[in-house]
Amino acid sequence: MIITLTPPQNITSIRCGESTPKLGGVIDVSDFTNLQLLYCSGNDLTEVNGYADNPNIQFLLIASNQLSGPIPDITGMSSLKRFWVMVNQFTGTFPDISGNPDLEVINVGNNNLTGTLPDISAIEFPGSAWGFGFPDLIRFNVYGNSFTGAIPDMVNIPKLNYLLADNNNLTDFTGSFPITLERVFVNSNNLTQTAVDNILQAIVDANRTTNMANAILEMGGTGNSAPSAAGIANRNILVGRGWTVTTN
Amino acid sequence: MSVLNNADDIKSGSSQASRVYSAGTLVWPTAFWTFNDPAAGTTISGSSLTLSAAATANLGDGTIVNMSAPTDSIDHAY
Repeated sequence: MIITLTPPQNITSIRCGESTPKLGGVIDVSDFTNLQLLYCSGNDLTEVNGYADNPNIQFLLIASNQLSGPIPDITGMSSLKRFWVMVNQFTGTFPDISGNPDLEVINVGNNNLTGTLPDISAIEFPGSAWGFGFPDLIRFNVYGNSFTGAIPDMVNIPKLNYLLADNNNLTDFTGSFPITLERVFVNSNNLTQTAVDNILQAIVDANRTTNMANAILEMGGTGNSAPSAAGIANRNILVGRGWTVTTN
Repeated sequence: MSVLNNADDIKSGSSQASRVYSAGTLVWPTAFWTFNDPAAGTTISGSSLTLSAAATANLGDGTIVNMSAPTDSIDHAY
């Protein structure tokens, strides 16, 4: 069965809603040249096609489907703000986000992605007012994959609020965090003691001291090292500021 | 079939065409959502479109929804 929407150029947002039972199938938005929002989460879709070169799409929300294969090249989505592809079966590496300067939220959690995470603070946007990094990014969520290597330095992510990177194989961290950061889940990785200590130090240095009700740092679980004595001292500083901190 | 790429007012005689097939394949308009025939009673809820001008949804079972409001629901039961 086929649903058609005409004329496609008159349609600026599509919310698929939720099918019961799940309809599955294939969505194609190739002809929707003026589309700004596509929200088709939770329908067991096996393919969503035709979005990756659309410069007008700001919100692409296709979580909780049955999407597989590599995440398409989204560098042509120059207006993209929110990219939700969590809870699918995507494979391959983290997508190239060097064409998406307006990103606010990226969530690739609970897929089957591998490889390293990009050094997002070092991504350059020539001609922009800020140069490097993502000035509007508030959530960087990569949990539940098989990423290795380092958690990115967030020095050029000034509004970051959530860093959810738990349940991967990440080992390292060197860098800083912004004061806006309030939820850090890096539990169940393979973080070295140096990485654990560096994370604690970076959060101490960020110096968040207000609106602490949701300030949570989770570094426990399997695989992560325990902090050193210096790290424990920083953990105690954070607890004193109102953070809820879990370490091994 | 590129001649149909931007078509939005195809007629057969005086009758408005809603779909054009070539050798059994839908060529106009392009399918938005393709899925296996749903079980009777299958529902789509919470769905909506935002429009810059009038549009039509063909839900595949003979149901045609003409929409002109800025935001319009197309919830449906098959």
